Amino acid sequence: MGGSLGTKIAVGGGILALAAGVMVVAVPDLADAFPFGGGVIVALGLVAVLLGLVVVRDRIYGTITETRTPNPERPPTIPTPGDDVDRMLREMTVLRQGIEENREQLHQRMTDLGIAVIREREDCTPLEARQRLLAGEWTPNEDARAFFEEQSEAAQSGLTTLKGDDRVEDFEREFRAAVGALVEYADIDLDVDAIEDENGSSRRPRRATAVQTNWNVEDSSIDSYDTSEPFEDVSIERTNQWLGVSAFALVALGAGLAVLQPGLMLVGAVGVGYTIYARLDDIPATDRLTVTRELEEPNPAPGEEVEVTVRLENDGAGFLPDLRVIDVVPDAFVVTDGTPRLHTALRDGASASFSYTVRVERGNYEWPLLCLGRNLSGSVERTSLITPEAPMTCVPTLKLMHDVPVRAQTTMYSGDVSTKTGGSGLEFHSVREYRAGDPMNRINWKQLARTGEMATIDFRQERAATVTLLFDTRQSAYVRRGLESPHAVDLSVHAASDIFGALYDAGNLTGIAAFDTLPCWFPPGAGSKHREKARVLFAEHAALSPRPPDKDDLQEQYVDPMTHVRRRLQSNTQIFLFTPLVDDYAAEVARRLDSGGHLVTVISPDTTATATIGQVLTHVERTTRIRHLRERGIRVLDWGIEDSLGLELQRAQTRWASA
Amino acid sequence: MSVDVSPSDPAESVPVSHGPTRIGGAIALVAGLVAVLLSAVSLLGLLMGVFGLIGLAAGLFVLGSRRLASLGVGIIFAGVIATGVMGTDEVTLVLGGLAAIVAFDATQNAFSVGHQLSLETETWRGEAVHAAGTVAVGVITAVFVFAIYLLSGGEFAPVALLFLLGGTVFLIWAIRA
Repeated sequence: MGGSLGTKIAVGGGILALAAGVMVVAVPDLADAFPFGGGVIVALGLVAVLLGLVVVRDRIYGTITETRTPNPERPPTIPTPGDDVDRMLREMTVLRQGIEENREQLHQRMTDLGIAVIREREDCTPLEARQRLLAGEWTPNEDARAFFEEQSEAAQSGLTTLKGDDRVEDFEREFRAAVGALVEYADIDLDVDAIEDENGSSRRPRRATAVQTNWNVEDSSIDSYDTSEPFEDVSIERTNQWLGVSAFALVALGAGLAVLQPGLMLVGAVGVGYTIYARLDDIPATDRLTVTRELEEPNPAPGEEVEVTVRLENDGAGFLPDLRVIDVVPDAFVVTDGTPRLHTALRDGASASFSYTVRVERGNYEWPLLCLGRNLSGSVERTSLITPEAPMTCVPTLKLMHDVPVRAQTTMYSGDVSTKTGGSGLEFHSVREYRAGDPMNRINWKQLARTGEMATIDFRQERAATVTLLFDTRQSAYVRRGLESPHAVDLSVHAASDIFGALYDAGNLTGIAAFDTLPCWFPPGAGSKHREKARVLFAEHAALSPRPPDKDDLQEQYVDPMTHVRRRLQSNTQIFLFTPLVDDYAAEVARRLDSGGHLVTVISPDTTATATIGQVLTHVERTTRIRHLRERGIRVLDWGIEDSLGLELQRAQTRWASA
Repeated sequence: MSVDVSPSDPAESVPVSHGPTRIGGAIALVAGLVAVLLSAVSLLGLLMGVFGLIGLAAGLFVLGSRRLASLGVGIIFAGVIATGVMGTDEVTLVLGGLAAIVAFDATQNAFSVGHQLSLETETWRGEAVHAAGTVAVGVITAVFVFAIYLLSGGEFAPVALLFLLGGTVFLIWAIRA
């Protein structure tokens, strides 16, 4: 309480005055010794009112210190492909920032895309394609032509052309027209006119384009939710919630003195009572709170919905008048029912509970409960993290979903290489629906060697193949179509864990790899231990995490992410490449592997949307990449995520069989 | 059963919204209303009170603005003071002032709980206990102070008043948050 000199003087003076006052009341004759008149009293009253107003000012400019809590119900912010383009456009047109750099980038990107599209359509060299692009005969749209011509002139002559508001508007109009023209020229089935117009995009609220890797931390004032102890204090602070209450006391007292109204003085006295109440800083004993968390299922499969019940018991902590608790659900989970929060008061021996349902994702989890305990007045807040003993392990089950078409590249285990000149049906399994109750079969290798026959699986493939499931897990692959869709890496891992099961059960040697600065390499193999390791890998390997890599984990990207994979990949391995194909690198990986003699099947979840111009642009880019890869003979499964993967594989199967 | 990854059935996360809690807002509004009614003795007090009440209601239920709601409570209290200046009996005043301060605290707590937790959270127990505490403190203080006032016969020499209240003012200034 006593701090500065001023405070000490005030306290000293106050006590002195009170003492004198009490004396005067007790001994009324003393009053004569002080010849103060009514005027002094009124003056004192006005001073008090003024002091009260100073306190009000303090209140207006003061800050309340309370812990900012996270919103663990919400899924993390993952960008949609095209967000960066929208942001650049918005910066240029609305914020008027970075006009030149954004213009250059957008122009470069459009030019690259235009060249790729023309090459694909007209089957010419890049140089010819560029000439045709600039010549402008590929489209009747004036604005589109102007976009490519003008911008390239400007780039060559080095003139900055976008000074002045009109030019930015022109640029945007031409840009949109150019995208629309490319959509038409490339014959992509999409209604560009349905995209919101210019006004719409400027009204759109800003969307985060940076990948949030630790959503709960970024959203709140707590540095980290990783705790090593069952109870950890984060902070104990005065909240200043009652800041300003002394104004009530001072103004009432002052007014009471100024007009000599006892009623007002009494109000002031009540205000004094509250001022004292606000200054009490008893710290709630939340360390004695017992927290238990009950999981409906401690070992669920990814994608399952699990009910969680949290129980708080006051076991000898005295009266806890104000408990605000939030269960800090991991970033990768989504709360689908209930609320992981509670506000309650517990006297000694009492308990309370709350429950919620959460949709889980692969990994090992142990998450804390954020507990904000306050005293009765609310002037002190104790923030702590309490971690109950309730780990959750979520691992995929690798069950057979459907058969997976495997290409004609085989291993030496078979001895005899199956050739492409074989009859149709040699290469492929038949696709059959998963039927509940189907036994999970293992290959009887001895029987296979002896008779070449498979006991239970309808198996037309002659020989076992070596397959590696390769994942694009760079930060740029963590994209999703919309707020409620899973991101591409999650989709890929879910699909792959099923595919792994199918391939494994059909007798192929299957391995897993990922390209990113976080290397992942699990060589193809067989056996139950191998399968078990794979299962655990899908759940726990950092590269395949449902959370995007931390910015800190990313090193300088001088090292090609594919280096470690290329080094270990054996020449006869088939690749199933899982990638959203939102940049050229992944397509390049597919091409290079293909040139290197591997048979590549690209499975690409379509995370592009078509609501904004940026999204349309990335949609066109992706479609062009897919076409380009297919032209080169690389199989691409364009997985529109509205459909199930099984269905897509069936369709693709027919397509590939006839190719 | 294997997981079919098609998000045609995506899990929708529950809505999360922040703002002053309904319960806390109701308590604040009721307390404010009481304060206004008790200061309806004088016209000026009544006018200020109604004005403040509108601000409080708007801040709590329409705009979600802590500033506006706090300002509303301040004006309500000023209305009580105005009524006191015009002259009225002590009980009405004390109760009016008490109600205004309760409204102040309820407002602050409503915003605090609403921001830290969410509007979808079950908060009635915590808020009720807090409000009960605030009311109890006020009532106890009022009773105590009234007792002293009545016992002393209601008369003080101006000098005694000066010292006592002046001392109190100093002390308040010293211990203000």
